[in-house]
Amino acid sequence: MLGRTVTLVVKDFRQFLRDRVLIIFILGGPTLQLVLLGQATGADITRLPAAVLDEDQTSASRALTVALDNLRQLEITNRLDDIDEARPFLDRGEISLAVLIPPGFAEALGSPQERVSVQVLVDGSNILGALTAVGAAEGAISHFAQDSVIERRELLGGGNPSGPMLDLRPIGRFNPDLVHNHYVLSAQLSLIVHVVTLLTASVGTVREREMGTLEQLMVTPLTRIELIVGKATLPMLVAFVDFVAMLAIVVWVFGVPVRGSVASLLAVTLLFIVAQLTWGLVISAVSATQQQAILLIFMIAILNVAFSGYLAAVENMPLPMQLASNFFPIRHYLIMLRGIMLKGANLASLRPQLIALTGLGIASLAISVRSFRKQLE
Amino acid sequence: MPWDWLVTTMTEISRRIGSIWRKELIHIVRDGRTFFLLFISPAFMLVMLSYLFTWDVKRFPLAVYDQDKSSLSRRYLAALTQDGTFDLRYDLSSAEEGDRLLLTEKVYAVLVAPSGLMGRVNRGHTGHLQVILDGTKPGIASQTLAQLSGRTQAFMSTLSSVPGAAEAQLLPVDIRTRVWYNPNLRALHSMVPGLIAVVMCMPAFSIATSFAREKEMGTMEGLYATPIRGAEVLLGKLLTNVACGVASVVPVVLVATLWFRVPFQGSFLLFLLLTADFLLGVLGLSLLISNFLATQQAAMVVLFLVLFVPSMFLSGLIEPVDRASWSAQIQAYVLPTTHYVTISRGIFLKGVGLGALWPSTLALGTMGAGYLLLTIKLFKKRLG
Repeated sequence: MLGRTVTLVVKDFRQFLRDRVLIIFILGGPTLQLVLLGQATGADITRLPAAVLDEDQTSASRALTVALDNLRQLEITNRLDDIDEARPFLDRGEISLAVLIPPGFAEALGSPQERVSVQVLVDGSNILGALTAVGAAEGAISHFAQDSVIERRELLGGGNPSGPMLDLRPIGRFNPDLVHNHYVLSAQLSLIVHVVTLLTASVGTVREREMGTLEQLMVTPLTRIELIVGKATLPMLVAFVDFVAMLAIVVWVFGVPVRGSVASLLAVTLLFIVAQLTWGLVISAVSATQQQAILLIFMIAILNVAFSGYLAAVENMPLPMQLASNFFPIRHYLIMLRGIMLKGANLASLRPQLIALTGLGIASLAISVRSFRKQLE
Repeated sequence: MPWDWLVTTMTEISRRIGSIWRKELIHIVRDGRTFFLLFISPAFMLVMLSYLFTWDVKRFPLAVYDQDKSSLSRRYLAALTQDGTFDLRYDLSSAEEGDRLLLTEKVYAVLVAPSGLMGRVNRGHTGHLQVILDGTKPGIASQTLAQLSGRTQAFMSTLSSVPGAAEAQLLPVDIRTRVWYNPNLRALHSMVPGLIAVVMCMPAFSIATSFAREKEMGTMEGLYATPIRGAEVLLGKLLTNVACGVASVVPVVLVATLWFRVPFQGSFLLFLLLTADFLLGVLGLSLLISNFLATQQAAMVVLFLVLFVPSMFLSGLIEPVDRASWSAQIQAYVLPTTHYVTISRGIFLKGVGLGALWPSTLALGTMGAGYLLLTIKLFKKRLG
């Protein structure tokens, strides 16, 4: 029995190894992608283009312009002569933000009676860019004003203001510097493993169906279980090798720590791959052509990204979606991956996730066996 | 007569392209599943993806460890949870409990009111509240902190003797921020038009797989044997898929405007035209790539990595294109999606026309023509 399964696995491997381009991309591609994304999304948003309209033309207004330009998030790329110039720049997306310093700005800073309005115009079409730009600009302007008030008070010989009554002391647990990379890369790791699993598990089988070679396999003495085990071995190995290679890069190139045990990380990953395989096998059972399989993979991959909680917190989704998310292995896996890698958790403290993932894995195998039977009839 | 010759030739060419067109269309319509997937998948993906990018966080789960148990800490906590932004899920009795909740991601922040807090405040000192944030989620951590500080400020200003509030009143500058194109800074309004660029990459996948499939099945050789030229085969395939793509953008726009209620400020006709422009660019790229690949599986994997993943993360969809890094900028601008993100947001939110969008339009047109010519050249060689 084992011999027959091994034969099937060997055949699948030969077929896989024959397609050089595919190998390079399945093994090398994710790694390359990870490096690119690590560089692209790891950093904070910096140097958003901004314009200043300085109608005051005093040393104070120039100092404010410099203060804005010195912000990491902003770079003053344009100076305006008229308020109407702002609109076309924003329309074309050449600047994200414009600051209008009105006449009388320096005067207002110097005397306690006068107040002045500084206008900030923002392009809201890119939400993250807009939030970053507004936060940075408003912060810089009020700091500037505050400093000038303190200066003025010192000149007048006023006393120091007392501190606030309550203040918050934030502590970033597990990642004190709030390094963005750790979050992005650990999530990417799980997402790439899941896509590779889905792809290799489904498309290979659908291709055999399209080519008619699946029927040849059906008439061999292979039993259903042997067929499934045989067909699942290649995707499991490919996904696992991919994971190990990417983990190495994430750890050694990007310096993301593995605080828990590597053995349990690998074990949990293997469990995840098994649970994820079902989706691949189910896709292969319902699609007649590779094109259909590919479109289905896409939709399921999107669902997985949604329910992984990587981009939007699952708690903020409508309730039915929250409930549905529990049936997606990636939801539990990502918590465990982050737990073991970044928080140094052991398997005992992640028991609820472990149970859920195991349950999904078992259900997964049962569904695979059922869906394969239908095909045989 | 040269004129007659030209007319006959053109008719002949368009007849041949037309026959490829018909063949491609039959491929798509013949199988109900393929038809459905092709036309509906972009709209479906838009619905799913848009929920993904709804960062307008409404509720933050929070655990509280109140060691002080004073009237001050109770009033403070009551003020925090008043408007429902913070969901006080857990009332802890030890610090370890908080750690466990953070570990299994039941909450992303634990607020600790240390014992003696009220005493300190009554003696005129600053009372320190500890906020333990899940550092592995920096985005949520900073949002939570910002919300907490805002509410703490508000709470302090409700108390009578507030030294800080009077100072703030005295600031000589007030900041008037006006957000254009998305006045309430709704993430959904920004993300839905952007995501249209990602979901409209789907036709690129279908053209690549149909191309690779013909190679795999050997039907491409059948086409070689006909009098139809390589360029005509490619053009026929391209035009069919551009037309299908433009058709499938209609349900996408309906989902965006009717379901997500994103305002559509610009011209719908221009949007369709520039969508065709984008499809030329992205389908040209896809044809060029699949020219080198022998199997559908390979075409799928390569496109996913070369087109889809960068479209998500490097196109300016999520974060604006990073102006600090040359490599990020080059990657962004050779990617057709980047230009289409600009176009889609421009027409949906800014209501601009070609006057503002011509650079992106031109870039996409150039890419489309360039990729197509390159593919035709390479394709001819293969025939020879």
